[in-house]
Amino acid sequence: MLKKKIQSGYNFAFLDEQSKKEIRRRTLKAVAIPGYQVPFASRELPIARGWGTGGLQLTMSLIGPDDILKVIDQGSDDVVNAVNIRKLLAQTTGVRTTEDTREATLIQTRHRIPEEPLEDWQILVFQVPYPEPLRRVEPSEVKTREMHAEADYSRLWVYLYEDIVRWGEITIGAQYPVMVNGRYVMDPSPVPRWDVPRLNMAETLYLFGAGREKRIYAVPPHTRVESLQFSDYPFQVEDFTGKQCDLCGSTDAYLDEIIDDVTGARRYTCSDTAYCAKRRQLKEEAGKNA
Amino acid sequence: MSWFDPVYSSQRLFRQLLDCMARPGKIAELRGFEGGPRDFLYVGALALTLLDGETTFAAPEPGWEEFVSFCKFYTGSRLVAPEQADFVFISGVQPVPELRQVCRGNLLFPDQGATVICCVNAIYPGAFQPAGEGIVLRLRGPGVPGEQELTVAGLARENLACLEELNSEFPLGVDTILVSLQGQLACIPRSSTMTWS
Repeated sequence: MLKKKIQSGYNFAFLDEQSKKEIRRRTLKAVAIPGYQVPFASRELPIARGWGTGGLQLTMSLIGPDDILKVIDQGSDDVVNAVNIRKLLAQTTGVRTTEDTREATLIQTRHRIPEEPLEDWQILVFQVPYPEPLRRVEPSEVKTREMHAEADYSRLWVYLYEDIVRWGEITIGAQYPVMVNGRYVMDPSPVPRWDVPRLNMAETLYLFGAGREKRIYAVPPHTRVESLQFSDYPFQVEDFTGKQCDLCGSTDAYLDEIIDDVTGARRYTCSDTAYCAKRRQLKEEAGKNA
Repeated sequence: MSWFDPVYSSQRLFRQLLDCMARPGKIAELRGFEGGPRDFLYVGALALTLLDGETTFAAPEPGWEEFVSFCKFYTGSRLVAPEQADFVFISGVQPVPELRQVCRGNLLFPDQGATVICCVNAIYPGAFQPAGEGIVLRLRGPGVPGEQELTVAGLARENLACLEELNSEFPLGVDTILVSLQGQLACIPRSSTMTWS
């Protein structure tokens, strides 16, 4: 897509400079203390809190005129949340936008990590609804903060243990708790388990923003990120054995299940639509050349 | 202030700073600040990028008076004692005893630990001994695959020892930004462990 015209009457990237400065200071602290949730003064935006305002504020404080922006929602570039955020950013910055993961310098995402590998010149910004991994065992913010301070994660371990006793396995799907750099337990945002191992020792900087809960946290590249697990109940990603994408035939991507309303038949498609489209295009080109 | 654009200069500098903070020991070259204050060009640019009326700063050494008034006037940041400051500016050449008192945050809010901005003569990638004056720093930890080496000229060993002491109880600690006279920038976040020779 071509560079867009900037909407007049707004500051570059919508936020005022003092707000950006504050977010930038918090971001630097978040990177210096991997997995620790840094409080920040979440600003009002033209999008309601809980609709990606944390990620959006991070992106607004990061973005420059030379960036190439990609925004996805559950792996898709074309869903309403992604479209609106992309539009707002494009209109207030004029930056080039793309759907190609390998081209984007800055990617804002809701609940997925793109399938294609990310590199060190890219930054992935996550939208986070609930930043506190201990919230499922402790409702009080004062107490969870103390638990993080003391690295006391025993109640979360008991929760996982009880899950196994009750169900025979750990039933947490998305938002699987991880240990960052051996110190802080962190919520990786509601990405599927499939994406969690890709946080570990990555090339890319991962930034997390929770607008409603007013927290910023980060996983720098080359940082240990371990899923919580027991030696006899190891962490497992979703199992797609025997299934493949209906559109591109991929067998090694995270798949969405679609149930036909009439026949009840199950189909699977890639959750990462840009990856799926790219594969189909490559196939088509290979077919032409053959 | 024609030399520093509050929107675009600070955005570009912040991205370089973030990249270096996420990759300890990586060196960035700051450029495009022609016409700024000659005595503290790059430190001044860093101050304009990070400081505002909500922050406090300290510059405990003599010789920083001009920078202090620059900071107060252009950023609105308040000058306080080193133990209360969010940002502490020092020149690394001489030992700075006040560095010992700098805030390391607390276990509930370790992010309240200060940021130390340390001016040095030069920063070189890898182990490099120009005329024997440099210290070779080796960093390990998050952001570093294996070990990252860099050479810093104009940084007193006493200051390094003090930073190591401040960062000995992770997550408490301070995050250091090294900036050279020629505009090279490198970071040592508290998550890094360092050795030097």
